Amino acid sequence: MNKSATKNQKNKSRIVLGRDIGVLIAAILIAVFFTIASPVFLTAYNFFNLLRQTAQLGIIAMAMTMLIISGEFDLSVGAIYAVTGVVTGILVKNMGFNIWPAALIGFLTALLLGFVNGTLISTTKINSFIGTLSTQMIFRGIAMVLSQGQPISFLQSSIFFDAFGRAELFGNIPVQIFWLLAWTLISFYLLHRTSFGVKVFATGDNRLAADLSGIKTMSIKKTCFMITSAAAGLSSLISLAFLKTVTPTQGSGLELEAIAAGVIGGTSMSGGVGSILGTFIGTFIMAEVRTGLVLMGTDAYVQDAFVGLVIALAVIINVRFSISKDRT
Amino acid sequence: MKRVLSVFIAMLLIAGTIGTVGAQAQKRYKFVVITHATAVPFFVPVRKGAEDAGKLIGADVVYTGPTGFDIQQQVEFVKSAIAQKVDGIAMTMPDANAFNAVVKEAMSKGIPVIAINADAPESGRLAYIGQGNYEAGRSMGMQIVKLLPNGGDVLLTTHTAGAENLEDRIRGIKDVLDAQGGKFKYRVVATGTDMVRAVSLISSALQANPNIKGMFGVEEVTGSAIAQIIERDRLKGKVMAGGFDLVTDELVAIQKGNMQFTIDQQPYLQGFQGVMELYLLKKFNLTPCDINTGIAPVTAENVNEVMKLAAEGYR
Repeated sequence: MNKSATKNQKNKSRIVLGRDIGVLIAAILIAVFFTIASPVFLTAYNFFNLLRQTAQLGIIAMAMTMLIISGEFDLSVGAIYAVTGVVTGILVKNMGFNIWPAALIGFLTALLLGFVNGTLISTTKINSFIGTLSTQMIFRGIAMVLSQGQPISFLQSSIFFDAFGRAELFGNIPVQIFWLLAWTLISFYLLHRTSFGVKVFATGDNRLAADLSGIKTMSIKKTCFMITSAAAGLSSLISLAFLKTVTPTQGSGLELEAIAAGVIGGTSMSGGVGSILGTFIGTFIMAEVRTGLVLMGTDAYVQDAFVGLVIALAVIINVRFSISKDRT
Repeated sequence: MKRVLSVFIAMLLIAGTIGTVGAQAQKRYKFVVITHATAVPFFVPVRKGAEDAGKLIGADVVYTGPTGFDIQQQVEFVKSAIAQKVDGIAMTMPDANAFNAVVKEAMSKGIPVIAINADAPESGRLAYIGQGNYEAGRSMGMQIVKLLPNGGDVLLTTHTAGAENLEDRIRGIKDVLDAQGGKFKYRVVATGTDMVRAVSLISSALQANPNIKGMFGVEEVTGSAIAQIIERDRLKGKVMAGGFDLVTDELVAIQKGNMQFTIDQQPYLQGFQGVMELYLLKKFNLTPCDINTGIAPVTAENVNEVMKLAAEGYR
């Protein structure tokens, strides 16, 4: 069904929405399966539980999707996620800052690290897998040194913690879900409804052509790196507010999960293809599978294997889609 | 007695200082303490204990190792200590056989090796200072039996299924619960090390079975997550809770009554005694011996005192 549509480059950002139907159906089928398997699956409590999990990873995964569409990866998001939390924690705990300015500085630190990533990749032109793998280690090291390997707990109370992670609106809706939805709307608008979004797709689809048509592809990529780090920063603050604790080791492995969520949602690893809604649903599927398996009482040892199976299936489907795209 | 001890310590300190000032007047020993994951908060008291011992006896103590769990890298750290010709090595051995060769190499070069925190008896190490994970699990099992004398359904949570030390703890708990004549039904939930996900998955497991009477984490990540759930869902007193190790989240939860206990293995002692035994071996040729650093449940009764000591790095 995509064959004729993909020929039209200009409409590319629009037609990917059609592809999201496939992921959506998968998400619904998985939900139906688990609802039959466990009566608790389809309860408000569990649904919000799922979305709370989706919020933490989804915010990062959607930004990562933009970056992957532009043709780059960021393996340092998990480390940025840790640095944001640790910087905020240190400012409050050791330097007596109020939580609000501390969180703001933590967030700005995340942006700065994204800027470092973007500048590194765009000026040296090294492969972003290697480039951000090295910054991942550096940033993780910063988090370790600053915190001396210790977790930092926040014992005071402040409206900050409610606003970012603890409040339950209308009685039982976790506040994280509003952050998730807000971020989804902004990302969706940015990627699928603005000229910036069109440029992101063009950059990842065919950089040479994009360059020739006057798009500053390097600055597009740089912006995508900063959006990704901003997402890591926001997600970190949400987790900090929810748990009232930060650890320097938090977020390890998050980068691969974010990429996996994007790929389940139909993002192509080779750039130029992907969608915000697809990634949203991709993240939701990962949370669904994990939670569903626990609800069913699956043995602890096989859970990871099942999650891996779902990722593999999703990638296989994604590859099949990509092949049909290349043929046109 | 106390006075004698403090005079003795003061003398040691003076001796140590003179040792440094009087340049090589007396040989200054160098001991290396290597753990398998230096960035883990658990090892902070191990380091402090080792360094405090070093100060007391006037020896150089270097604390090192890979930041995250990595056996191969840890072996490299041991090899580099051998190359530096240190006077002794105290190290964790989180694998039954991976360290056999490197320990033999060190011993053959006259460098004594002592296992701390995690043991590998076949490696040829001179002694083991720490707590048996199986015994620690049994200790948790007994706490559970005490809290739930009538038995019931319980959740056991772990952040990594298949990690040897955690599996040993779980085995210890199961053995105690199984011995209660079928009163207990348990289920193990693995969550991964991310605490947000741990909170979410453990909540789900709790939802799936409304008969759950208790939730117990075999390490500090899921232990902290359980503390979060009890507070958030207002389950205080309705669902019993316990964890492992000393982290602020768990200790505060015990203070508030959200959690009933956590199991401490006194890591300070592991670092301190590790260095001490190496020193006594070098200095007076005293044979190192196994030390059980104990299993110390922290409950509402002693939590305040423990928190004070934890803040100072002793617990």
